[in-house]
Amino acid sequence: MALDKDHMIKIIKLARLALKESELISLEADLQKIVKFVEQLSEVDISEVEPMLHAQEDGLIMQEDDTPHEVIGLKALLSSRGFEDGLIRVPRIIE
Amino acid sequence: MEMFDIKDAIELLSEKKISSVELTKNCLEKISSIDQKLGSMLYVDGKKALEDAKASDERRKSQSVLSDIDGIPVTLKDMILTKDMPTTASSRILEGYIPPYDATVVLKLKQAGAVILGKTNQDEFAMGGSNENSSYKPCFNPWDLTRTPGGSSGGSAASVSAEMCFSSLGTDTGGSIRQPAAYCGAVGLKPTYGRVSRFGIIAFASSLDQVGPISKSVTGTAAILSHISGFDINDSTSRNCSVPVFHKELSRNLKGKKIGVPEEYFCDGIDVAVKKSIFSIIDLLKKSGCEIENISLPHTKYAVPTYYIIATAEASSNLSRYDGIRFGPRVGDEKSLLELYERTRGELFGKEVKRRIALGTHVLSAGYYDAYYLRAQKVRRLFANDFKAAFSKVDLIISPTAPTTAFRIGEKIDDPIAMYLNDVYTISANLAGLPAISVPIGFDEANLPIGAQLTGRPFHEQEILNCAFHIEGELNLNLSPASLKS
Repeated sequence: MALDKDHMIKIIKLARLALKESELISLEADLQKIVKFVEQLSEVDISEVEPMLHAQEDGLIMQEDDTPHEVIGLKALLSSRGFEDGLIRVPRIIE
Repeated sequence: MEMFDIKDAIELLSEKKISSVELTKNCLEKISSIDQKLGSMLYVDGKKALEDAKASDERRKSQSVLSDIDGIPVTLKDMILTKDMPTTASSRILEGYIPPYDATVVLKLKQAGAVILGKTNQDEFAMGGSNENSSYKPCFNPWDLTRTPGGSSGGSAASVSAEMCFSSLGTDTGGSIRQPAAYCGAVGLKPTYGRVSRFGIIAFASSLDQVGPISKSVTGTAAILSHISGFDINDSTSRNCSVPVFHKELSRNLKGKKIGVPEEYFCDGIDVAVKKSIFSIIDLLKKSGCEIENISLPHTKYAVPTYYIIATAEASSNLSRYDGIRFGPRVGDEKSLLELYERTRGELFGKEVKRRIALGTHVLSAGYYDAYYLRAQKVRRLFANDFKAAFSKVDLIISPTAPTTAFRIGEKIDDPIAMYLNDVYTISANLAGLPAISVPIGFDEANLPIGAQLTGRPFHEQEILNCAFHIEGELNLNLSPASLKS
């Protein structure tokens, strides 16, 4: 399928990417080529084939729903440039 | 100092003929004299490395060494979290980020006494095959400074090849350990999916990513693999199974081993020199008592498109966490929250990363999911089936690691599909979750290294290591790049 500009605008909105007009034009041209390239897969007969979600389908383990390592809390919050008084500051959400 | 094989270093350390401080100083001197023109390191902490080396020497004096790699200097790709060093994935969106914890592989190396010198250059978020997508600086191939070291673990392979460390950890989502190892004349191994913990590895495509070692020799690669492998409660995809001491079990005896040669890997696009080298190795293996069998991996043609749907879909989801709130710098903080997200991501992600996020978002979006993502997952199953069928006949599979030797900087940067096709031989092992190694087998007419890839059954790393060990022993190549000798 051909990607038009409206679809590209929808995609970059979904992907939360603010792009300049020139970047959008260049991205659209690249994606046109790449999408055409990956569409080769439509030649493959996939009837009766189960999707493969993972390379380790038979060996996955269940874990307790807890935190076995001490990585959360203040140390992780400190990574944010908006960290203030134990909280992460963001722009005003409600006017 | 001309000694850059871990095996030699381990012997000399244990015989007390050299100290870890001497090894570490030598590596740091090389970094300081060579890396300005190579660009392989993003961060070096010489002071801490020397302190750790000194502590290792103390342990050795008191006969309390932690392991056989105690005191060996190594580097780490910048995808690997380190609590005492910045970790940026070569992206401006993580500039200045210092993680609150170490990745499991880093903890394991520290527990084994390895000396961590610093973090290596790479393609941003491991997206690329030339290291040209680093947001910070280019990295060059030690064999020819006009060429790429490969990627995405380009800095890791270059730092090993230029003898600035004894080993480096890279990550491999579609060939990112094996291809740069081949381009730089080093040995690089992608373990079976689940062999090594991914806890603390920046996620690119979670169902494909694996961490693995790059070293000058098969023994060095095997030694590091022995120390980083194993089940980890923090990674539910790591496999709870026994881990061989790979470097202690290396054997050159290949008699009776069945080696498959996939006919689809020797079609258009492969360099004459690469093809010739691989066939000479196949002859060598035959003379060494291996049975060579032609096999078919019929879906090979679809490896690259399948990979670029699955990997970008997973990446678009994994990279959604980088929004200026929790990590790294912010752009557009003064207006709305949405503008903060969009401007931070739009301005701080590089071109290739934005391209892949957009593609991944497209293939997952409403109305396209079944046609692209679901279809790719089904084709992925066909790859796994192809390998299962092949491994019912053979013990391992030989192929080139890459269709060409290292290409020139800038040669493919404007043509993403040409760049993606470079991964054609390496991607299948990630899709099927198999172990694969690249081992140097010679040079082309421009004296650029050529690598052979050996792919094995799941959790049969020892088998591919043994075959690589045999090839290495037979060829005895000089893998020191002359261009860096001054």
